[in-house]
Amino acid sequence: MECEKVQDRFSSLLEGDLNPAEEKIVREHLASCSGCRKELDRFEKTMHWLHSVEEVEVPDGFVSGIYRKMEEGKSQAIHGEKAGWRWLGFPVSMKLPIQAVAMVAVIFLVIYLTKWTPLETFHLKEVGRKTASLPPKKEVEKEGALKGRAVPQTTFETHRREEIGQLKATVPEEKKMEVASAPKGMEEGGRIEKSSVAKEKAVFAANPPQEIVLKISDHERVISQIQELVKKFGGEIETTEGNVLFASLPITSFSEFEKGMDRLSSSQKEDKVVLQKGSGESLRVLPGAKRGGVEEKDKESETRLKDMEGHIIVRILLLQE
Amino acid sequence: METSPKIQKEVIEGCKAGDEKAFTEIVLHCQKKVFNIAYRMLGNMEEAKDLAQEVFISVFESIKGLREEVKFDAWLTQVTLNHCRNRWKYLKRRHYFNSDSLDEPVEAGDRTVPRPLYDPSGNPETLYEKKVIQQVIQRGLLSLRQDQRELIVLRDLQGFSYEEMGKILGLPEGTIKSKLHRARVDLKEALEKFPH
Repeated sequence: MECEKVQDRFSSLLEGDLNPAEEKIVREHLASCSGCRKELDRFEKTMHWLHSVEEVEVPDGFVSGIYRKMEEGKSQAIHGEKAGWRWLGFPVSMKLPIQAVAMVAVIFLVIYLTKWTPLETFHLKEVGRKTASLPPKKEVEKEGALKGRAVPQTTFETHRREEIGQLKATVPEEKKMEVASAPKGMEEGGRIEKSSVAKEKAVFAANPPQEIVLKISDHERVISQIQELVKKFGGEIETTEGNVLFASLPITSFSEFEKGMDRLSSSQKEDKVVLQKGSGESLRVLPGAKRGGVEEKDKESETRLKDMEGHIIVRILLLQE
Repeated sequence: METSPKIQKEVIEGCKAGDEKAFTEIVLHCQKKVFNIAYRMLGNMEEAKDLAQEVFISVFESIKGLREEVKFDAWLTQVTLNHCRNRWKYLKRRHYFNSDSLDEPVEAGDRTVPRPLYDPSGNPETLYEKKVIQQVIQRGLLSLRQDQRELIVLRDLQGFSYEEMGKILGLPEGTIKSKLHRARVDLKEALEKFPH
């Protein structure tokens, strides 16, 4: 047997684990090999030293130290439970759904904060703006009421005649009404439903109202020409209030209509200005109107948003010289 | 190597029920074994004391999970070894063993004994020599790998049987025997390398 194999059996030899045949072979090798004998001697001494190691006595206060640590641990555990460690004791069947719901809530919150907030802010601004510009809103309401009753029953001409006669008288009255009814209007403005506002925004976004200003000399003739033009392009006159006309036109034919208005304007030999606005809240009177010295009650009138898909609302201002 | 009698089943059941008296009985019965394993594994009295106390606290907290009371001794040893492994890693990360963390050399009257020399021909007859040998062995143990140290501590210092070691360490007896022999040879070589 080789020395290495003999030395690998030293532990078994000393513990008496070798079978008699193996032990005989090992002892025969040791008898003839001084190197292995020396190694065995060293190994035996090491084992002797190991077995001579005595157990160490447990230090004093060992048991009391355990109870002290347990007390400290209890107080920490109480604090830990209060701090939310109780959650760790919940079964997984409860924890998982709660965590899932919480995750979804967080995702929605993030999306809301990052994506929807600008729209909401816009909406709030819109509401605020509308509340601030109450007179136009009241105008819209009044228009609606007028349209429901008077407009279908009266022809354009009679309405015009009445209006020409009452023009100067009605303007101060309207102003008074607006001032008196402002608080009510503010309340209403505050109660604007989100859906209607959203629709309104969508309409404006899709088809921003157009404004065309014409300086005219013959009011009656121009209005009839405009009516014809509108009908020609598949639109209709929505409402007529003195020098303001609201026409609904298909978007596709708007450019053609605009050209027609151009021709009409050139035939009148007057200036024509086209304004496009994001919303109808700040319709301004053109300088040309002031130059003409014509009183413009239409300054306060608001665009009626009865726009449908594919149509555009055009406000036509007629400024008489 | 003498082995302590097994702890009674009723005491373990009492401890499972949260009886502190039963727990104290277990501590008193097993403290020496747990403390000595910890001391031989770590080589420091204070660390060993602290660790052994934590072992018993763990036992009190987790004994309900012990299904077979007859396996209490093996279970307790496993808990102790697990604590020792974790503490060893913890101390090693903090370079604890690079410093002079071992307990102080044996004091002999008014002189400090230098680090003992390895002398296989000597016989540890006197108390002084025994203490010196204990220190030499402790240094040799700490120079071994942790798994080798566990084998020697369990078998040569605590007197566990190969069967018990197989259950505690989850290894076949043959594997334990061969690994233990390798550990003993490595210890012998470590002792020989100590400066003379």
